[in-house]
Amino acid sequence: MSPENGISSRLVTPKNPLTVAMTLAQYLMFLGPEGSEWSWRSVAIIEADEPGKWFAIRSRNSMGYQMAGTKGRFSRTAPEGVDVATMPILDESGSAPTALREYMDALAESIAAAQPEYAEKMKAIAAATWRGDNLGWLRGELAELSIDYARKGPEVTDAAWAEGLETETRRRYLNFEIPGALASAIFMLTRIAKVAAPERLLHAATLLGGKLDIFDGPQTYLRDRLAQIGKVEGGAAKIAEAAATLQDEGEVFGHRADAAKGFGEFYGSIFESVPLAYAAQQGFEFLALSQGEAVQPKAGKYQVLANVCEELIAPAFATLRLAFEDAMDWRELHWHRERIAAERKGAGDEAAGRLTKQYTRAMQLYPIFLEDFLMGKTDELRLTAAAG
Amino acid sequence: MSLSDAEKMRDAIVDSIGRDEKYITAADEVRHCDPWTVAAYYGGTALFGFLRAGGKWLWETVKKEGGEKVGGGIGKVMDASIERLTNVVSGKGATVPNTGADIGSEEDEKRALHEQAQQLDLANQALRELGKVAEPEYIQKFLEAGEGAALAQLMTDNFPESKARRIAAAMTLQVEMRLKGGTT
Repeated sequence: MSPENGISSRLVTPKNPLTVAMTLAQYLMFLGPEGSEWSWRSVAIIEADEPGKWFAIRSRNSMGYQMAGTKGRFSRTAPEGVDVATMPILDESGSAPTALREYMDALAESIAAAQPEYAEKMKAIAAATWRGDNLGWLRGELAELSIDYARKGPEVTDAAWAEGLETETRRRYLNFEIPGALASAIFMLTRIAKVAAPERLLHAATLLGGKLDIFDGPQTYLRDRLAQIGKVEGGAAKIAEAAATLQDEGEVFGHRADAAKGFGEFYGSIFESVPLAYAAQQGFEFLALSQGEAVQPKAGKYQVLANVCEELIAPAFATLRLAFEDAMDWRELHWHRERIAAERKGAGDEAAGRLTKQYTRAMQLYPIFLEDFLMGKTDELRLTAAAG
Repeated sequence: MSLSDAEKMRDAIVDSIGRDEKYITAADEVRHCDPWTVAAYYGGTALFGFLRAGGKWLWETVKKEGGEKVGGGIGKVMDASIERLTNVVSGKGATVPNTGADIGSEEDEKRALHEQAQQLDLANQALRELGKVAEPEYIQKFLEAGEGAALAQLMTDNFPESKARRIAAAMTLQVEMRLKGGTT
Protein backbone atom coordinates (compact mmCIF):
# COMPACT_ATOMS: atom_id res chain seq x y z
CA MET A 1 0.00 0.00 0.00
CA SER A 2 1.30 3.42 -0.89
CA PRO A 3 2.06 5.66 2.11
CA GLU A 4 0.39 8.62 0.34
CA ASN A 5 -2.99 6.93 -0.01
CA GLY A 6 -4.81 3.72 0.70
CA ILE A 7 -4.91 2.49 -2.90
CA SER A 8 -3.61 -1.00 -3.51
CA SER A 9 -4.14 -3.44 -6.37
CA ARG A 10 -3.82 -6.38 -3.96
CA LEU A 11 -6.58 -8.98 -4.32
CA VAL A 12 -7.30 -11.04 -1.23
CA THR A 13 -9.44 -14.00 -0.24
CA PRO A 14 -12.58 -12.26 0.98
CA LYS A 15 -14.62 -13.02 4.08
CA ASN A 16 -17.85 -12.32 2.19
CA PRO A 17 -17.39 -13.32 -1.48
CA LEU A 18 -20.92 -12.30 -2.51
CA THR A 19 -20.51 -8.70 -1.31
CA VAL A 20 -17.11 -8.46 -2.92
CA ALA A 21 -18.48 -9.89 -6.18
CA MET A 22 -21.29 -7.31 -6.27
CA THR A 23 -18.95 -4.37 -5.67
CA LEU A 24 -16.53 -5.75 -8.28
CA ALA A 25 -19.39 -6.15 -10.77
CA GLN A 26 -20.26 -2.46 -10.29
CA TYR A 27 -16.63 -1.44 -10.74
CA LEU A 28 -16.20 -3.53 -13.89
CA MET A 29 -19.53 -2.65 -15.52
CA PHE A 30 -20.13 1.05 -14.75
CA LEU A 31 -18.56 1.96 -18.11
CA GLY A 32 -16.72 -1.06 -19.48
CA PRO A 33 -14.67 -3.90 -17.96
CA GLU A 34 -11.47 -3.23 -19.90
CA GLY A 35 -11.33 0.43 -18.86
CA SER A 36 -11.73 -0.62 -15.23
CA GLU A 37 -9.05 -3.31 -15.58
CA TRP A 38 -6.61 -0.70 -16.97
CA SER A 39 -7.55 1.82 -14.34
CA TRP A 40 -7.12 -0.76 -11.56
CA ARG A 41 -3.56 -1.38 -12.73
CA SER A 42 -2.54 2.18 -13.71
CA VAL A 43 -3.91 4.02 -10.68
CA ALA A 44 -2.03 1.67 -8.34
CA ILE A 45 1.22 2.43 -10.23
CA ILE A 46 0.60 6.20 -10.28
CA GLU A 47 -0.40 6.44 -6.65
CA ALA A 48 2.60 4.42 -5.51
CA ASP A 49 4.82 7.21 -6.88
CA GLU A 50 5.58 10.69 -5.57
CA PRO A 51 2.65 13.09 -5.19
CA GLY A 52 2.80 15.75 -7.89
CA LYS A 53 4.48 13.51 -10.48
CA TRP A 54 2.80 13.43 -13.90
CA PHE A 55 2.24 10.28 -15.97
CA ALA A 56 1.21 9.97 -19.61
CA ILE A 57 -1.41 7.32 -20.29
CA ARG A 58 -1.49 6.02 -23.85
CA SER A 59 -4.75 4.31 -24.78
CA ARG A 60 -5.83 2.98 -28.18
CA ASN A 61 -7.26 6.24 -29.50
CA SER A 62 -5.89 9.01 -27.32
CA MET A 63 -3.41 10.22 -24.72
CA GLY A 64 -4.24 11.33 -21.19
CA TYR A 65 -2.12 12.82 -18.41
CA GLN A 66 -2.54 12.15 -14.73
CA MET A 67 -0.81 13.59 -11.69
CA ALA A 68 -0.17 11.43 -8.64
CA GLY A 69 -1.34 12.32 -5.15
CA THR A 70 -4.43 13.25 -3.22
CA LYS A 71 -4.38 16.60 -5.03
CA GLY A 72 -4.26 14.81 -8.38
CA ARG A 73 -5.03 16.28 -11.76
CA PHE A 74 -6.14 14.77 -15.07
CA SER A 75 -5.83 16.32 -18.49
CA ARG A 76 -6.44 15.20 -22.04
CA THR A 77 -3.74 17.58 -23.26
CA ALA A 78 -0.14 17.82 -22.07
CA PRO A 79 -0.08 19.97 -18.92
CA GLU A 80 1.75 23.29 -19.06
CA GLY A 81 5.16 23.49 -17.44
CA VAL A 82 5.72 19.74 -17.43
CA ASP A 83 8.37 18.05 -19.60
CA VAL A 84 6.38 15.49 -21.57
CA ALA A 85 9.58 13.92 -22.97
CA THR A 86 10.67 12.71 -19.54
CA MET A 87 7.20 11.75 -18.32
CA PRO A 88 6.72 8.03 -17.58
CA ILE A 89 4.26 6.44 -20.02
CA LEU A 90 1.64 3.90 -19.03
CA ASP A 91 0.69 1.99 -22.16
CA GLU A 92 -2.97 0.98 -22.22
CA SER A 93 -3.12 0.38 -25.97
CA GLY A 94 -2.61 -3.38 -25.97
CA SER A 95 -4.75 -6.23 -24.70
CA ALA A 96 -6.42 -5.24 -21.45
CA PRO A 97 -5.32 -6.91 -18.19
CA THR A 98 -7.62 -9.63 -16.90
CA ALA A 99 -6.75 -9.79 -13.19
CA LEU A 100 -10.13 -8.49 -11.99
CA ARG A 101 -12.17 -10.74 -14.26
CA GLU A 102 -10.12 -13.79 -13.27
CA TYR A 103 -10.76 -12.81 -9.66
CA MET A 104 -14.48 -12.49 -10.46
CA ASP A 105 -14.43 -16.02 -11.93
CA ALA A 106 -12.83 -17.32 -8.73
CA LEU A 107 -15.44 -15.50 -6.64
CA ALA A 108 -18.26 -16.94 -8.78
CA GLU A 109 -16.90 -20.45 -8.25
CA SER A 110 -16.55 -19.98 -4.53
CA ILE A 111 -20.06 -18.52 -4.24
CA ALA A 112 -21.49 -21.37 -6.34
CA ALA A 113 -19.94 -23.88 -3.93
CA ALA A 114 -21.06 -22.12 -0.74
CA GLN A 115 -24.38 -20.59 -1.89
CA PRO A 116 -25.68 -22.65 -4.84
CA GLU A 117 -28.82 -20.50 -5.11
CA TYR A 118 -26.61 -17.70 -6.51
CA ALA A 119 -24.57 -19.94 -8.83
CA GLU A 120 -26.40 -19.17 -12.09
CA LYS A 121 -26.59 -15.43 -11.45
CA MET A 122 -22.90 -15.23 -10.57
CA LYS A 123 -21.94 -17.26 -13.63
CA ALA A 124 -23.93 -14.86 -15.82
CA ILE A 125 -22.34 -11.76 -14.24
CA ALA A 126 -18.83 -13.19 -14.59
CA ALA A 127 -19.53 -13.98 -18.25
CA ALA A 128 -20.88 -10.44 -18.84
CA THR A 129 -17.64 -8.93 -17.52
CA TRP A 130 -15.67 -10.91 -20.12
CA ARG A 131 -17.89 -9.96 -23.06
CA GLY A 132 -18.67 -6.35 -22.00
CA ASP A 133 -16.08 -4.78 -24.32
CA ASN A 134 -16.08 -7.51 -26.96
CA LEU A 135 -16.70 -5.73 -30.26
CA GLY A 136 -18.37 -8.78 -31.81
CA TRP A 137 -20.94 -8.98 -29.01
CA LEU A 138 -21.42 -5.21 -29.02
CA ARG A 139 -21.98 -5.28 -32.78
CA GLY A 140 -24.91 -7.64 -32.21
CA GLU A 141 -26.35 -5.33 -29.56
CA LEU A 142 -25.98 -2.22 -31.74
CA ALA A 143 -27.49 -3.96 -34.77
CA GLU A 144 -30.42 -5.05 -32.60
CA LEU A 145 -30.83 -1.45 -31.41
CA SER A 146 -31.16 -0.21 -35.00
CA ILE A 147 -33.49 -3.04 -36.01
CA ASP A 148 -35.64 -2.65 -32.90
CA TYR A 149 -36.55 0.90 -33.88
CA ALA A 150 -37.05 0.03 -37.56
CA ARG A 151 -39.38 -2.89 -36.89
CA LYS A 152 -41.69 -1.20 -34.43
CA GLY A 153 -45.03 -0.61 -36.07
CA PRO A 154 -46.42 2.88 -36.74
CA GLU A 155 -49.00 2.25 -34.01
CA VAL A 156 -46.16 2.44 -31.45
CA THR A 157 -45.22 6.08 -30.88
CA ASP A 158 -41.56 7.06 -30.59
CA ALA A 159 -42.18 8.11 -27.00
CA ALA A 160 -43.68 4.71 -26.08
CA TRP A 161 -40.87 2.85 -27.83
CA ALA A 162 -38.27 4.98 -26.06
CA GLU A 163 -39.90 4.54 -22.65
CA GLY A 164 -39.99 0.77 -23.01
CA LEU A 165 -36.40 0.51 -24.18
CA GLU A 166 -35.14 2.83 -21.42
CA THR A 167 -36.83 0.70 -18.78
CA GLU A 168 -35.42 -2.51 -20.23
CA THR A 169 -31.93 -1.00 -20.63
CA ARG A 170 -31.95 0.21 -17.04
CA ARG A 171 -32.95 -3.28 -15.88
CA ARG A 172 -30.19 -4.92 -17.90
CA TYR A 173 -27.57 -2.44 -16.67
CA LEU A 174 -28.56 -2.81 -13.02
CA ASN A 175 -28.42 -6.59 -13.42
CA PHE A 176 -24.90 -6.35 -14.89
CA GLU A 177 -26.04 -7.71 -18.28
CA ILE A 178 -24.68 -4.74 -20.24
CA PRO A 179 -21.91 -2.20 -19.52
CA GLY A 180 -22.60 1.49 -18.87
CA ALA A 181 -21.07 2.58 -22.18
CA LEU A 182 -23.69 0.62 -24.13
CA ALA A 183 -26.48 1.74 -21.82
CA SER A 184 -25.41 5.37 -22.32
CA ALA A 185 -25.68 5.12 -26.13
CA ILE A 186 -29.19 3.67 -25.81
CA PHE A 187 -30.24 6.30 -23.26
CA MET A 188 -29.06 9.14 -25.51
CA LEU A 189 -31.10 7.86 -28.45
CA THR A 190 -34.23 7.02 -26.46
CA ARG A 191 -34.07 10.41 -24.76
CA ILE A 192 -33.80 12.22 -28.10
CA ALA A 193 -36.83 10.24 -29.32
CA LYS A 194 -38.76 11.27 -26.21
CA VAL A 195 -37.94 14.99 -26.29
CA ALA A 196 -38.63 15.17 -30.04
CA ALA A 197 -41.97 13.28 -29.86
CA PRO A 198 -44.44 13.40 -31.50
CA GLU A 199 -41.96 14.26 -34.26
CA ARG A 200 -40.25 11.03 -35.38
CA LEU A 201 -36.75 12.45 -35.31
CA LEU A 202 -34.89 9.11 -35.33
CA HIS A 203 -36.92 8.02 -38.35
CA ALA A 204 -36.21 11.28 -40.18
CA ALA A 205 -32.50 10.94 -39.40
CA THR A 206 -32.44 7.34 -40.66
CA LEU A 207 -34.02 8.43 -43.94
CA LEU A 208 -31.27 11.02 -44.45
CA GLY A 209 -28.72 8.21 -44.18
CA GLY A 210 -25.00 8.57 -43.60
CA LYS A 211 -22.27 6.43 -42.05
CA LEU A 212 -23.35 4.15 -39.20
CA ASP A 213 -20.52 2.08 -37.72
CA ILE A 214 -21.67 -0.84 -35.58
CA PHE A 215 -18.23 -2.51 -35.56
CA ASP A 216 -16.27 -0.21 -33.22
CA GLY A 217 -18.34 -0.03 -30.07
CA PRO A 218 -21.18 2.09 -28.69
CA GLN A 219 -19.32 5.41 -28.57
CA THR A 220 -18.54 5.34 -32.31
CA TYR A 221 -22.07 4.13 -33.12
CA LEU A 222 -23.59 6.95 -31.06
CA ARG A 223 -21.35 9.57 -32.68
CA ASP A 224 -22.51 8.45 -36.16
CA ARG A 225 -26.16 8.36 -35.09
CA LEU A 226 -25.90 11.88 -33.59
CA ALA A 227 -24.35 13.07 -36.86
CA GLN A 228 -27.41 11.74 -38.69
CA ILE A 229 -29.78 13.40 -36.22
CA GLY A 230 -27.81 16.67 -36.38
CA LYS A 231 -28.54 16.86 -40.11
CA VAL A 232 -32.29 17.01 -39.51
CA GLU A 233 -33.60 20.54 -39.01
CA GLY A 234 -33.81 21.20 -35.29
CA GLY A 235 -31.95 17.95 -34.57
CA ALA A 236 -29.02 19.62 -32.77
CA ALA A 237 -31.40 21.44 -30.42
CA LYS A 238 -33.06 18.13 -29.54
CA ILE A 239 -29.65 16.55 -28.85
CA ALA A 240 -28.90 19.44 -26.47
CA GLU A 241 -32.30 19.12 -24.81
CA ALA A 242 -31.91 15.36 -24.38
CA ALA A 243 -28.39 15.77 -22.97
CA ALA A 244 -29.63 18.38 -20.48
CA THR A 245 -32.36 16.07 -19.15
CA LEU A 246 -29.88 13.22 -18.83
CA GLN A 247 -27.44 15.48 -16.94
CA ASP A 248 -30.23 16.53 -14.57
CA GLU A 249 -31.14 12.90 -13.90
CA GLY A 250 -27.49 12.02 -13.32
CA GLU A 251 -27.32 14.80 -10.72
CA VAL A 252 -30.50 13.54 -9.03
CA PHE A 253 -28.76 10.21 -8.39
CA GLY A 254 -25.89 12.18 -6.82
CA HIS A 255 -28.40 13.75 -4.42
CA ARG A 256 -29.85 10.31 -3.71
CA ALA A 257 -26.38 9.12 -2.76
CA ASP A 258 -26.15 12.06 -0.33
CA ALA A 259 -29.41 11.01 1.30
CA ALA A 260 -28.60 7.28 1.28
CA LYS A 261 -29.46 5.32 4.43
CA GLY A 262 -27.35 2.31 3.52
CA PHE A 263 -24.21 1.29 1.63
CA GLY A 264 -26.23 -0.45 -1.08
CA GLU A 265 -28.31 2.65 -1.79
CA PHE A 266 -25.22 4.86 -1.75
CA TYR A 267 -23.09 2.85 -4.18
CA GLY A 268 -26.18 1.87 -6.19
CA SER A 269 -27.08 5.53 -6.78
CA ILE A 270 -23.57 6.36 -7.96
CA PHE A 271 -23.55 3.28 -10.23
CA GLU A 272 -26.92 4.22 -11.69
CA SER A 273 -25.86 7.81 -12.39
CA VAL A 274 -22.97 6.85 -14.69
CA PRO A 275 -24.68 5.92 -17.99
CA LEU A 276 -26.96 8.97 -17.69
CA ALA A 277 -24.09 11.39 -17.16
CA TYR A 278 -21.94 9.64 -19.77
CA ALA A 279 -24.76 9.86 -22.31
CA ALA A 280 -25.07 13.59 -21.60
CA GLN A 281 -21.31 14.03 -21.89
CA GLN A 282 -21.25 12.38 -25.31
CA GLY A 283 -24.20 14.46 -26.50
CA PHE A 284 -22.63 17.76 -25.42
CA GLU A 285 -19.21 16.74 -26.74
CA PHE A 286 -20.72 15.91 -30.13
CA LEU A 287 -22.31 19.37 -30.25
CA ALA A 288 -19.08 21.07 -29.13
CA LEU A 289 -17.18 19.47 -32.00
CA SER A 290 -19.99 19.88 -34.54
CA GLN A 291 -19.36 22.06 -37.57
CA GLY A 292 -23.05 22.90 -37.98
CA GLU A 293 -23.74 26.63 -38.35
CA ALA A 294 -26.55 26.57 -35.78
CA VAL A 295 -24.32 24.91 -33.19
CA GLN A 296 -20.96 26.65 -33.73
CA PRO A 297 -21.69 29.82 -31.70
CA LYS A 298 -22.53 27.64 -28.68
CA ALA A 299 -19.57 25.26 -29.07
CA GLY A 300 -17.74 26.66 -26.03
CA LYS A 301 -20.82 26.33 -23.85
CA TYR A 302 -21.34 22.74 -24.97
CA GLN A 303 -17.71 21.88 -24.20
CA VAL A 304 -18.12 23.29 -20.69
CA LEU A 305 -21.25 21.16 -20.20
CA ALA A 306 -19.42 18.09 -21.54
CA ASN A 307 -16.65 18.73 -19.00
CA VAL A 308 -19.19 19.14 -16.20
CA CYS A 309 -20.75 15.79 -17.16
CA GLU A 310 -17.30 14.20 -17.29
CA GLU A 311 -16.82 15.35 -13.69
CA LEU A 312 -20.18 13.85 -12.76
CA ILE A 313 -18.75 10.48 -13.80
CA ALA A 314 -15.38 11.00 -12.11
CA PRO A 315 -16.57 10.02 -8.59
CA ALA A 316 -17.57 6.60 -9.94
CA PHE A 317 -13.96 5.82 -10.90
CA ALA A 318 -12.74 6.52 -7.38
CA THR A 319 -15.78 5.54 -5.31
CA LEU A 320 -16.65 2.23 -6.98
CA ARG A 321 -13.01 1.16 -6.90
CA LEU A 322 -12.83 2.09 -3.25
CA ALA A 323 -16.09 0.19 -2.54
CA PHE A 324 -14.53 -2.94 -4.03
CA GLU A 325 -11.31 -2.51 -2.02
CA ASP A 326 -13.28 -1.93 1.18
CA ALA A 327 -15.47 -4.96 0.51
CA MET A 328 -12.30 -7.05 0.51
CA ASP A 329 -10.76 -5.79 3.78
CA TRP A 330 -11.83 -2.19 4.57
CA ARG A 331 -8.36 -0.97 3.59
CA GLU A 332 -9.53 2.37 2.20
CA LEU A 333 -11.96 3.16 4.99
CA HIS A 334 -9.28 2.65 7.64
CA TRP A 335 -6.76 4.69 5.65
CA HIS A 336 -9.19 7.61 5.31
CA ARG A 337 -10.09 7.39 9.01
CA GLU A 338 -6.40 7.49 9.95
CA ARG A 339 -5.86 10.48 7.69
CA ILE A 340 -8.70 12.37 9.39
CA ALA A 341 -7.23 11.48 12.81
CA ALA A 342 -3.86 12.85 11.65
CA GLU A 343 -5.55 16.04 10.48
CA ARG A 344 -7.18 16.43 13.91
CA LYS A 345 -3.82 15.98 15.60
CA GLY A 346 -2.11 18.52 13.35
CA ALA A 347 -4.82 21.11 12.74
CA GLY A 348 -7.69 20.53 15.17
CA ASP A 349 -11.24 19.22 15.26
CA GLU A 350 -12.70 21.67 12.77
CA ALA A 351 -10.05 20.88 10.17
CA ALA A 352 -10.73 17.17 10.68
CA GLY A 353 -14.44 17.82 10.20
CA ARG A 354 -13.69 19.73 7.02
CA LEU A 355 -11.61 16.82 5.63
CA THR A 356 -14.38 14.38 6.52
CA LYS A 357 -16.93 16.46 4.65
CA GLN A 358 -14.57 16.55 1.69
CA TYR A 359 -14.54 12.73 1.59
CA THR A 360 -18.30 12.36 2.07
CA ARG A 361 -20.05 15.41 0.59
CA ALA A 362 -17.62 16.78 -1.99
CA MET A 363 -15.96 13.63 -3.32
CA GLN A 364 -18.72 11.14 -2.39
CA LEU A 365 -16.18 8.51 -1.41
CA TYR A 366 -18.34 7.48 1.54
CA PRO A 367 -21.98 7.93 2.58
CA ILE A 368 -22.72 10.90 4.83
CA PHE A 369 -24.07 8.62 7.59
CA LEU A 370 -20.52 7.31 8.02
CA GLU A 371 -19.14 10.71 9.10
CA ASP A 372 -19.15 9.93 12.83
CA PHE A 373 -17.17 6.74 12.22
CA LEU A 374 -14.71 8.50 9.92
CA MET A 375 -14.19 11.26 12.51
CA GLY A 376 -13.58 8.71 15.25
CA LYS A 377 -16.67 9.77 17.21
CA THR A 378 -17.72 6.13 17.24
CA ASP A 379 -15.90 2.86 16.64
CA GLU A 380 -19.08 1.13 15.58
CA LEU A 381 -18.99 0.64 11.82
CA ARG A 382 -22.62 0.62 10.72
CA LEU A 383 -23.59 -0.33 7.18
CA THR A 384 -26.85 1.61 7.47
CA ALA A 385 -27.72 4.99 8.95
CA ALA A 386 -28.80 5.02 12.58
CA ALA A 387 -32.58 5.07 13.02
CA GLY A 388 -33.98 8.59 13.07
CA MET B 1 -6.95 24.89 17.31
CA SER B 2 -10.02 26.50 15.77
CA LEU B 3 -10.84 27.88 12.36
CA SER B 4 -10.88 31.66 12.14
CA ASP B 5 -14.14 33.47 11.47
CA ALA B 6 -13.00 34.10 7.88
CA GLU B 7 -12.28 30.40 7.37
CA LYS B 8 -15.73 29.55 8.69
CA MET B 9 -17.22 32.14 6.37
CA ARG B 10 -15.34 30.69 3.41
CA ASP B 11 -16.29 27.14 4.42
CA ALA B 12 -19.95 28.16 4.43
CA ILE B 13 -19.55 29.35 0.84
CA VAL B 14 -17.76 26.11 -0.07
CA ASP B 15 -20.69 24.18 1.44
CA SER B 16 -23.14 26.16 -0.65
CA ILE B 17 -21.10 25.47 -3.79
CA GLY B 18 -20.96 21.78 -2.89
CA ARG B 19 -20.33 19.40 -5.77
CA ASP B 20 -21.22 22.16 -8.22
CA GLU B 21 -17.56 23.16 -7.86
CA LYS B 22 -17.11 21.30 -11.13
CA TYR B 23 -18.42 24.41 -12.92
CA ILE B 24 -15.47 26.45 -11.60
CA THR B 25 -12.94 24.50 -13.63
CA ALA B 26 -15.26 23.28 -16.38
CA ALA B 27 -13.67 25.52 -19.00
CA ASP B 28 -10.14 24.33 -18.10
CA GLU B 29 -8.24 21.58 -19.85
CA VAL B 30 -7.23 20.14 -16.50
CA ARG B 31 -9.65 18.28 -14.24
CA HIS B 32 -9.04 18.60 -10.47
CA CYS B 33 -9.26 15.81 -7.90
CA ASP B 34 -9.27 18.08 -4.82
CA PRO B 35 -12.64 19.81 -5.00
CA TRP B 36 -12.45 21.51 -1.59
CA THR B 37 -9.27 23.45 -2.38
CA VAL B 38 -10.63 24.65 -5.72
CA ALA B 39 -13.94 25.69 -4.17
CA ALA B 40 -12.20 27.41 -1.22
CA TYR B 41 -9.99 29.59 -3.44
CA TYR B 42 -12.94 30.40 -5.59
CA GLY B 43 -15.32 31.05 -2.68
CA GLY B 44 -12.87 33.46 -1.05
CA THR B 45 -12.26 35.31 -4.28
CA ALA B 46 -15.99 35.54 -4.98
CA LEU B 47 -16.53 37.02 -1.50
CA PHE B 48 -14.02 39.77 -2.26
CA GLY B 49 -15.93 40.47 -5.47
CA PHE B 50 -19.16 40.71 -3.47
CA LEU B 51 -17.62 43.17 -0.99
CA ARG B 52 -15.96 45.25 -3.71
CA ALA B 53 -19.28 45.70 -5.51
CA GLY B 54 -21.16 46.50 -2.28
CA GLY B 55 -18.43 48.90 -1.17
CA LYS B 56 -18.38 50.64 -4.55
CA TRP B 57 -22.13 51.16 -4.47
CA LEU B 58 -21.97 52.53 -0.94
CA TRP B 59 -19.05 54.85 -1.66
CA GLU B 60 -20.68 56.29 -4.77
CA THR B 61 -24.05 56.69 -3.06
CA VAL B 62 -22.63 58.43 -0.03
CA LYS B 63 -20.59 60.79 -2.22
CA LYS B 64 -23.59 61.47 -4.46
CA GLU B 65 -25.88 62.24 -1.57
CA GLY B 66 -23.13 64.48 -0.23
CA GLY B 67 -24.09 64.25 3.42
CA GLU B 68 -27.74 65.12 2.87
CA LYS B 69 -28.76 61.93 4.62
CA VAL B 70 -25.47 60.92 6.20
CA GLY B 71 -24.27 64.04 7.82
CA GLY B 72 -21.82 65.11 10.52
CA GLY B 73 -19.72 62.75 12.59
CA ILE B 74 -21.56 59.59 11.57
CA GLY B 75 -20.89 60.45 7.94
CA LYS B 76 -17.16 60.71 8.56
CA VAL B 77 -17.06 57.41 10.44
CA MET B 78 -19.00 55.76 7.66
CA ASP B 79 -16.66 57.23 5.04
CA ALA B 80 -13.72 55.79 6.94
CA SER B 81 -15.40 52.36 7.27
CA ILE B 82 -16.20 52.22 3.57
CA GLU B 83 -12.69 53.30 2.68
CA ARG B 84 -11.19 50.68 4.93
CA LEU B 85 -13.37 47.94 3.47
CA THR B 86 -12.61 49.07 -0.07
CA ASN B 87 -8.87 49.05 0.62
CA VAL B 88 -8.99 45.58 2.15
CA VAL B 89 -10.94 43.99 -0.69
CA SER B 90 -8.75 45.60 -3.34
CA GLY B 91 -5.49 44.59 -1.68
CA LYS B 92 -2.89 42.05 -2.66
CA GLY B 93 -4.51 39.20 -0.72
CA ALA B 94 -7.74 39.62 -2.63
CA THR B 95 -6.22 38.72 -5.98
CA VAL B 96 -7.02 35.39 -7.58
CA PRO B 97 -4.55 32.68 -6.56
CA ASN B 98 -3.31 30.21 -9.12
CA THR B 99 -5.33 27.00 -9.21
CA GLY B 100 -3.97 25.68 -12.50
CA ALA B 101 -1.96 22.60 -13.34
CA ASP B 102 1.28 24.29 -12.29
CA ILE B 103 0.13 24.88 -8.74
CA GLY B 104 2.87 24.62 -6.18
CA SER B 105 3.24 22.20 -3.31
CA GLU B 106 0.62 21.46 -0.70
CA GLU B 107 2.48 23.88 1.58
CA ASP B 108 2.25 26.69 -1.03
CA GLU B 109 -1.43 25.98 -1.37
CA LYS B 110 -2.02 26.09 2.39
CA ARG B 111 -0.08 29.37 2.60
CA ALA B 112 -2.12 30.96 -0.19
CA LEU B 113 -5.39 29.90 1.45
CA HIS B 114 -4.15 31.18 4.81
CA GLU B 115 -3.22 34.57 3.29
CA GLN B 116 -6.63 34.81 1.69
CA ALA B 117 -8.28 34.02 5.04
CA GLN B 118 -6.21 36.73 6.77
CA GLN B 119 -7.39 39.26 4.20
CA LEU B 120 -10.96 38.06 4.67
CA ASP B 121 -10.60 38.51 8.44
CA LEU B 122 -9.63 42.15 7.87
CA ALA B 123 -12.63 42.55 5.59
CA ASN B 124 -14.88 41.06 8.28
CA GLN B 125 -13.59 43.58 10.83
CA ALA B 126 -14.33 46.39 8.38
CA LEU B 127 -17.80 44.93 7.78
CA ARG B 128 -18.56 44.94 11.51
CA GLU B 129 -17.51 48.59 11.77
CA LEU B 130 -19.63 49.46 8.80
CA GLY B 131 -22.59 47.56 10.25
CA LYS B 132 -22.41 49.73 13.38
CA VAL B 133 -22.62 53.06 11.55
CA ALA B 134 -24.58 52.46 8.34
CA GLU B 135 -28.35 52.92 8.15
CA PRO B 136 -30.34 49.69 7.55
CA GLU B 137 -31.40 50.90 4.09
CA TYR B 138 -27.74 51.38 3.12
CA ILE B 139 -26.89 47.92 4.40
CA GLN B 140 -29.74 46.46 2.38
CA LYS B 141 -28.55 48.19 -0.80
CA PHE B 142 -24.96 47.21 -0.05
CA LEU B 143 -26.06 43.56 0.14
CA GLU B 144 -28.14 43.83 -3.02
CA ALA B 145 -25.23 45.32 -4.97
CA GLY B 146 -22.88 42.63 -3.67
CA GLU B 147 -25.28 39.79 -4.40
CA GLY B 148 -25.93 41.14 -7.90
CA ALA B 149 -22.22 41.28 -8.65
CA ALA B 150 -21.64 37.80 -7.22
CA LEU B 151 -24.52 36.40 -9.27
CA ALA B 152 -23.15 37.96 -12.45
CA GLN B 153 -19.66 36.63 -11.74
CA LEU B 154 -20.91 33.11 -10.97
CA MET B 155 -22.86 33.02 -14.22
CA THR B 156 -19.85 34.34 -16.14
CA ASP B 157 -17.94 31.46 -14.55
CA ASN B 158 -20.37 28.95 -16.10
CA PHE B 159 -22.68 28.29 -13.14
CA PRO B 160 -26.28 27.77 -14.30
CA GLU B 161 -28.54 30.58 -13.06
CA SER B 162 -30.40 28.54 -10.42
CA LYS B 163 -27.13 27.32 -8.88
CA ALA B 164 -25.58 30.81 -9.10
CA ARG B 165 -28.58 32.32 -7.29
CA ARG B 166 -28.28 29.76 -4.49
CA ILE B 167 -24.56 30.46 -3.97
CA ALA B 168 -24.93 34.26 -4.21
CA ALA B 169 -27.73 34.12 -1.61
CA ALA B 170 -25.47 32.10 0.69
CA MET B 171 -22.79 34.79 0.35
CA THR B 172 -25.31 37.48 1.22
CA LEU B 173 -26.28 35.61 4.36
CA GLN B 174 -22.65 35.32 5.46
CA VAL B 175 -21.90 39.01 4.79
CA GLU B 176 -25.13 40.13 6.46
CA MET B 177 -24.23 38.18 9.60
CA ARG B 178 -20.85 39.97 9.78
CA LEU B 179 -22.46 43.35 9.22
CA LYS B 180 -24.72 42.61 12.16
CA GLY B 181 -21.79 41.52 14.29
CA GLY B 182 -22.47 37.77 14.22
CA THR B 183 -20.51 34.75 13.00
CA THR B 184 -21.45 31.32 11.75
